[in-house]
Amino acid sequence: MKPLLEVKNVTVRFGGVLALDDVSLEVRPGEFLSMIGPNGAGKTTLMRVVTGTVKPVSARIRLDGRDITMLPTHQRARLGLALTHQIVRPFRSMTLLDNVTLAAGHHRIGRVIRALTAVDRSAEREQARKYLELVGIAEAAEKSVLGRPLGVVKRLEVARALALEPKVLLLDEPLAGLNTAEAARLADTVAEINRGGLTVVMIEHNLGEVLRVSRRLAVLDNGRKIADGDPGAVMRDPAVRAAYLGKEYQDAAA
Amino acid sequence: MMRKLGTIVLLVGALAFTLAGAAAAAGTIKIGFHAPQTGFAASDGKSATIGAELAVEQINAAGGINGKMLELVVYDDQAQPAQAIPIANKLIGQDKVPIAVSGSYSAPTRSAAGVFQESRVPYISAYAIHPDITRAGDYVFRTSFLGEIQGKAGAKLIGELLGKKMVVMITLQNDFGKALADGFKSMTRDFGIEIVNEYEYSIKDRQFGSLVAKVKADDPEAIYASGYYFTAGPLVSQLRAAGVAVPIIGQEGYDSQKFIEIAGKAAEGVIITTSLDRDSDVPETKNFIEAFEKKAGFKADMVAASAHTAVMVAADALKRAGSTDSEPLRKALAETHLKASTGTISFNALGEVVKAVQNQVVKDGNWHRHSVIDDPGLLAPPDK
Amino acid sequence: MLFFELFVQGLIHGSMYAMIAVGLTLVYGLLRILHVAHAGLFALGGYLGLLITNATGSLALAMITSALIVGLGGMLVYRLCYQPILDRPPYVPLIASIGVFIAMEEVFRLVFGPYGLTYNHPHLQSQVTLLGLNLRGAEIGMVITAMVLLGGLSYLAQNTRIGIAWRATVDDPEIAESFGIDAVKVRYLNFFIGSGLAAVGGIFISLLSNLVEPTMGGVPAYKALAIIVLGGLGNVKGTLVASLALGVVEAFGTIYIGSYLDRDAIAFAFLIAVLMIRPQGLFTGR
Repeated sequence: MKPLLEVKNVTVRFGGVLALDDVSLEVRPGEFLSMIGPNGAGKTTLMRVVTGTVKPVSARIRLDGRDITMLPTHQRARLGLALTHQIVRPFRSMTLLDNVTLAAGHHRIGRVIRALTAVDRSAEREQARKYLELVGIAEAAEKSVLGRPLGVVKRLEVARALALEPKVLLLDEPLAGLNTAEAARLADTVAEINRGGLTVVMIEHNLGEVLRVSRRLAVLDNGRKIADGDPGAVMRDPAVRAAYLGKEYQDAAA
Repeated sequence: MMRKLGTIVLLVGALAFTLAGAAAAAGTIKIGFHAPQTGFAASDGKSATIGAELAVEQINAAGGINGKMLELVVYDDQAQPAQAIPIANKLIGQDKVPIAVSGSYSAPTRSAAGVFQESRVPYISAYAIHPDITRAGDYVFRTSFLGEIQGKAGAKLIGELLGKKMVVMITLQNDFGKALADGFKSMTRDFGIEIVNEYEYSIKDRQFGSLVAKVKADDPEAIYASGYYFTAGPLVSQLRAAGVAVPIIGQEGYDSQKFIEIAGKAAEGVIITTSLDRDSDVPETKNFIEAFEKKAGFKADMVAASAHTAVMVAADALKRAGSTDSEPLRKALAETHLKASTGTISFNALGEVVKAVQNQVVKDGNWHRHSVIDDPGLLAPPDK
Repeated sequence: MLFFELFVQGLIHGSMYAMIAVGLTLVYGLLRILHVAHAGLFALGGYLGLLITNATGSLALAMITSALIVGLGGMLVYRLCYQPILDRPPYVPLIASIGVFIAMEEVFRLVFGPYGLTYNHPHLQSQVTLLGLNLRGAEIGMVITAMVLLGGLSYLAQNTRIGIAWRATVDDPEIAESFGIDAVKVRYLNFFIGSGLAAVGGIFISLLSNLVEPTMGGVPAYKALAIIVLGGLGNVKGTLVASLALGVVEAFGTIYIGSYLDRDAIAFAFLIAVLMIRPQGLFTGR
């Protein structure tokens, strides 16, 4: 099967530091790929190269066969890449519903005149509401983002990304900061969405959930990919264990 | 190699200097001149400069002074005192002018006056009216009225000539406006005027909505308002638009065609105290008005006339002195008795001019003579 | 009656301030730049409006054309002056902006002369009696236009696609980009609208005084900055309230304490007083 997302030979330098060293990755349609690795390994940086926020020294990115390496971020978003962030960044001056509605109208944003005059947003608002329901925060739809608990805002991030109707959903530590119950619920929601056909790439530290829901695991350490494949096999890889596991692994495997 | 180059440069430089010096000695007499060419007062500066240039052209066309041509050395002072001082120093030290004229406002003229007095270079203020200017010393002269004198004339105009007693004053917050207001207020008792209220405004104001509302509520018999064409124009127009129909009396700051353009119909009937009589039969005035309009392409204003007069006075003094040395020149200046576009010019001991006040009124879209105030007692400037 | 009249005059003056200040706060909200050159665009609007009205006799045509041209001018200022230096510390665009403003003033003087221009037949000079007050058409026109345009702007921001996109870009340009919003296009639109508003303001001012001068942007250049600080930097509603409040304060202040403080001194005294009580301004900004 042809890969949906091809990330080839990504090298990134920040000042004198080599953040990513010739990393390559492929994601097939419908996959649920999780990326793990110690802090500072370069996972978030790699995601940001894919979305275009970070400029690499060298890279080749292809989405659904199309070379997007030179495209600006907003165009990559329109072609079907959505990213949620480790430290949530909702639009603070708007309500939850507005946040998602913005994404839901993504196909209209490009044309300025239509965007200026498009007042009837009821269709998009309905869509947005559905996404809020999907992640289970619909009751807070009309409330402002400010003052919402973290669990709600993290799920808003996901709903907003989904509203973009992406081809690939990139999630950067969606479970960080959530308690066990919340994390499990959100992980289940994402898994369900993936079963529905959406390709997901997730960075996570919560190994328990990672191993529960993902079907493929890639490991980054010090800017290099050191393992890529079936979760079980990867976890048994001594290089991976040596890289960062220790105590956490023992707990997770138990 | 460098040594040789250096010597060559030095020799060439010295040669150039001598030639320049020779040229100066050979042909022209310089008159220093500063006026605002840029900045908020650029309009007055431009008029003054053209007036001054016209005077030089006319004198040179008639053969110059004592066989030499006049040269006007012009600098832009942006109406800022801080600019005027270095310009004064440049005129004295670098251009070595024997005499200078200020085509600028009071603040820069005041600053420069001290510099010229110290260097004993005669200096004439064309239209800057602050009293301290001539107090700088016996080398400083003024060819236009003091602000106070004009203010007194305004009081006579309103109280006696027009017979209006309840007056509202609208005063521009600067040297010019305050001097006029002081002069006006000093004569209110003499002419039976009661000041209902006095309001002040900033030179940057163009919208006078609240002021107009208050003046309307005051319901005076006449309004004495100081300003320049760019403040008086909008002010008068807005007063009339609000239904204030009483006489408005202004001063030479209004004196330009621009005032009439801005205020439009509202300008009709506005009277000002000034020194340029458009209906004058005096040939010096008539000729100036015609020649200026031909040269500049627009109608003459008070500022242009004043600068023209000042340069004429300077040239006349140069002619009578027969030299460019400072003391003979100063003496000649003090003894001036010249008919110029803005009246007959002669100076008192302080260097202040004694001449009649021309009252002009706007009729059918142009300035015309209204009356003349020629009261030597009233108009006598201080002599120290 | 006098108090009412002074109050109304204050609102009229304030609506003029509003049309200038809103553009400035829009730029600050989006880019955190103090766009001093905005005052130059305001003056340009006044000049174009006067010249087109004198040439064609139609004020409406002049307003629309001037707003369009100045809107484009604002976009050009963004593109040439600000975009190249967005990553520098904030005083760099500020200095560049001041430079552009001063240059514009001098260009106006060189091209149009230092004397200022007047209308051949100023429109909207006829008087209307409203609520016992004598007001000119231009004054009423300015207030109504300000309300309509600013109301329209508010509607745009709340209810349209572009409004949401703009609000998102103000909040977080990077995230907005990742949702398909072209932040550069949003900025162009921002400058276009803000500058167009200023142009309309400039035309009304010139109608009220029948004069456009090269230095007409001088006072708005710093007054508008004071207003956006007063209203809360980046807050459009706050700017509107601050503009009207300042207009009223100046209207009363210049009459009753005008012999001690001039208009600007009153304005800044008011600003300082408010900031001492509420340092963030009347409303919280960005």
